[in-house]
Amino acid sequence: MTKAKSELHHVIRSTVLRQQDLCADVTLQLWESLASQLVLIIGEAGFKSLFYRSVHVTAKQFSWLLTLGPSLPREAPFSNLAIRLNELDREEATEATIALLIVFIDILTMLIGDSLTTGIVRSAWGNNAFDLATTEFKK
Amino acid sequence: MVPVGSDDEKLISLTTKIQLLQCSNEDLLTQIAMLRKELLYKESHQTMMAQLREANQHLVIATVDAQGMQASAEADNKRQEEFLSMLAHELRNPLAPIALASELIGKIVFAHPDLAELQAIISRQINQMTRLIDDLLDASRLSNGKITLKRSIVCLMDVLQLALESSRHLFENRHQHLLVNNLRENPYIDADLVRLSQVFSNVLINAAKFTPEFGTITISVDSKDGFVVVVIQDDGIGIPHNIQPHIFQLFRQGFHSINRSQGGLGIGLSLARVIVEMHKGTIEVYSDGQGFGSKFTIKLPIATGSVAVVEKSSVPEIAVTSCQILLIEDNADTNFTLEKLLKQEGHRVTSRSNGSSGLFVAMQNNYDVIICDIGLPDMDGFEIVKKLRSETSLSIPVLIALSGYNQLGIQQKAKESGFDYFLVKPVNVAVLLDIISSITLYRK
Repeated sequence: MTKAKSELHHVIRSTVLRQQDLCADVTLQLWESLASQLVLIIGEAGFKSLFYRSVHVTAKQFSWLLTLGPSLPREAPFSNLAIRLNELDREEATEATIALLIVFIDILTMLIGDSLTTGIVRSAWGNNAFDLATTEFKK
Repeated sequence: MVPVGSDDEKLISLTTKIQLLQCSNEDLLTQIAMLRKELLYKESHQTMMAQLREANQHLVIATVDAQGMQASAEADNKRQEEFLSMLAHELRNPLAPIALASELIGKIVFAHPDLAELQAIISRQINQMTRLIDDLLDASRLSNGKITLKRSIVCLMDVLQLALESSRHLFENRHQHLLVNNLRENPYIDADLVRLSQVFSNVLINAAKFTPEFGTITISVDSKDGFVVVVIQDDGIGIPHNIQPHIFQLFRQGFHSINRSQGGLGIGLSLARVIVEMHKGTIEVYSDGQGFGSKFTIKLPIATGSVAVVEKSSVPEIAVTSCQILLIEDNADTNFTLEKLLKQEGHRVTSRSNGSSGLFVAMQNNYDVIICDIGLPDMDGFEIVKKLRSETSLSIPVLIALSGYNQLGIQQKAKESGFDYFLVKPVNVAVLLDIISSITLYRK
């Protein structure tokens, strides 16, 4: 795994774990901001395709993810995901959120490379997410 | 002095104002032109951005679709491999008691004059069936790149000898002449003896199938530029030019063979190519076309450096003494025939048809050998052996696994569980009896 990819994984973990109690809301926010950045580059259909591929891959670990069918409009899967996360216990909701984001970011990295992916995630989630993850790591 | 507000003054002031206005008008026109240019640039930039976004979108969708298709193809391959493995297992299970029964009939051929010939037919067909099952598994391994080699330094003659042993009956059945030229060339090669003999056997079987009765098949050996060159030529039905480039593809057959009962699955030549290439060699086919025979040329690198060959040790004659054997096998026919065969060899045999009762008697009694099927209904062979090894206070007997599955993973698992030997169904009786005999030797 490259250094950049490992850093992105760390940022995902730290961002989700920091607000475990608000897992569903945080998830919704993270996905929406990622979508708003990525749609500019790969279009709505491109984002949707990438998202559902990630859902399909992660569903091997969390089978309930398959209920987020690809026929839904772009906003719907996020709110549906948030609803499903609210129904789960905190531990599983957190792990599923992290797993799905990591799979998504890994596929994106494979497509466009480390540098551009990091740039997009920074624009979407802000530098703060990276700074906090680094601080936590140092601690 | 001109008075303020005179007409001249007003005129001058107006002219100046007009000039200023003209200047700023020109500036404005220039600015408008520049803004128009910028706007055009911006518009074309935006159009380009939209086009790029669309292109990216297509690329992402195509890549994600390709990923999905790849994953689905891999899953299909896995399912196919599992199915073929299960199919082979299911076919081997009934074959095992037939083979054992054939062995038993072989011991009473004196009872009727036709019995010897009939038993030979059964035995040949069992071998043919076993070969087809092995081919099926090899096809699955081929498509998944799972063919492995166990290499050592071997001499070419040993390889050819082994290949001829498994194909000679075909030439005899079809009254074909087999000519072997220049066998003085006997170089050493770094090869997997069994796999490489399979290559020659497949080519020879192919030659036999596609050559009419009383035809001729010639094997010649030569060496050139560090390679040994084996040519197998026949005067059979030949191969049309348009088929020759595809002859080494999986499930591809040039013609239906003359004798459909020896039809095969179109796996042999494909397997041959892969094995030869794994040995860093080449295999080529040439035919002048339909009716002009075929010529297969196999080139293999000759082993370089000092060649250390493992000499075949002569096997000591072993006086067979009676062993106490426990047989755990759920297939009633295999259980019956194997028990009978072992008893005929003078061994004392206890048989059980399920795992738990097998384990129970194994824990209670001293046995020299336990022959145990892997796939039992209540407790599999791995578990029986693990429990036996960890819980018994008795001395551990020699443990022989029987299985219809012949995958490296299962063999490895059997070894890790504590089995000493792994035999694939239908059991090669001679090998099984050799193992049991060697135990009596060690016991001495």
